[in-house]
Amino acid sequence: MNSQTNMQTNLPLTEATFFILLSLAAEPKHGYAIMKDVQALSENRVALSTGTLYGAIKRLLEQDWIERVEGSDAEDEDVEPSGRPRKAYALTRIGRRVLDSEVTRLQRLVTIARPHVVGGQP
Amino acid sequence: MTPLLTRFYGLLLRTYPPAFRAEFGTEMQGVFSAALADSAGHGRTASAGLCLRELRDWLRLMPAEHLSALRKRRSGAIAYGKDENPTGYESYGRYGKMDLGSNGAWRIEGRKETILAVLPPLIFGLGLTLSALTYGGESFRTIAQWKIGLAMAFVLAGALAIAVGAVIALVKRMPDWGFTWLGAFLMGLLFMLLLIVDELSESSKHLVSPTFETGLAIVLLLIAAAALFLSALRGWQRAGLVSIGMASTLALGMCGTANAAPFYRYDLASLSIVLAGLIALLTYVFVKQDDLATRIGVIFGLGVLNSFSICLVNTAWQEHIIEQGKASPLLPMIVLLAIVLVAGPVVGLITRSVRPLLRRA
Repeated sequence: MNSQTNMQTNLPLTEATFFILLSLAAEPKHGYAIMKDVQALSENRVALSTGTLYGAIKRLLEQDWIERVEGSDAEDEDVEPSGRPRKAYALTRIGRRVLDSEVTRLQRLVTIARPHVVGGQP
Repeated sequence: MTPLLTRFYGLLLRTYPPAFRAEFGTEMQGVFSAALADSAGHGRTASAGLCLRELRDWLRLMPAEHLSALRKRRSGAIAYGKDENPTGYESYGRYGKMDLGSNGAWRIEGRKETILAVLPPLIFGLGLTLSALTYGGESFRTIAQWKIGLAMAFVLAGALAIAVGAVIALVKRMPDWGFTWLGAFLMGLLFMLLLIVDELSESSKHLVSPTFETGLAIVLLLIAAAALFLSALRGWQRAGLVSIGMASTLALGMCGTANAAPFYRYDLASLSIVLAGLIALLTYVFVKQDDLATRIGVIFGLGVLNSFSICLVNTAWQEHIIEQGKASPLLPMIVLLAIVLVAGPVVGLITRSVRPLLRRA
């Protein structure tokens, strides 16, 4: 109950945070992949700039919602032009719980709203 | 073009705090290059959209990162307050703020935010009136030094408060109330530069050199134009507030000049607070009334009010100008004020059709 209450203090998430966490839900990704994924997931509504993306990543790292990991699924893309391994980011356990809580919250809102707006009883 | 833009982006990166740059700089540069190469395949509009987005967010994020770094240095800890949003973007619930990446709806809902949006002209007007009353029409040659100091302090305190408000608004990623502050701040800077240059020129002095003065004025004008354009990309109402902030600062500043030598019309200058009150009232209507016709009416009303105030101050200028055989600045001033006032809404309405394209890009 207490941890649930704590989780609620982080909600609601902004659209950008929600999509960044959602993008990392399936697998770890590097910065550019997150940027493209957020745009695709949001159907082109949320277009992150690099400054916004890394500002968010910095704060999500500080909150322990995401973490840096070694590489991702596509081996040949995981090297920077300088030859250094490209940094990828993954959801932590806390980050996943935050994302789950937000999804649950949104589902509840939709459940409450649907009868009132989609031809249901007021 | 691409290498040039990449190099320019590298310069922007250098303005972030060193710790942030060290941690993310290389990655950000890599991601920007990849995004730019990707967008180049979709045409120039896509690349322009990408660059504009980067520039817009840089204006908001770079000062915020510096503030964040400063806070960390002061607290000596990494921890943020537990309520702080990890993305740094205010959520809908707590701040009533538009979300990232969308143009968002107009969100000045609470009384506090509404008051904040109309405060800049009132602050500036109050400073000018207190300053005029302190001078009381005395000549600068005979007036006590402490009175000059106090009068200047009133104006500077008002200007400083507006500057602080604008910086806070920037740090908070420009909540809607902040656009009036931004406009007032930028016009205030420009106005102050012109006053200083004018004062120095009377004793044949310059800020470094005449070229430097012109360059600085051009840079400030370009920053103001960029701020207006970027605000317009977030909706004509927000750009309208920037314009109101700019035009009201200019009109009030002009009103304040009635107190200067050789006019010494403190009675006219002390009317600044009345003018500021009326501007604040109209700005309040602009903020609260959510229909186009009323807002256009407010812009028109502000234009009339500004013109009236310039006509009033002109009664002080006129005699001196006739004496010197110069052309009256009345009409050019009225036209300039009108242009500044309508620039934001007009650019906002023009870019309305461009915004979806830029967002897609």
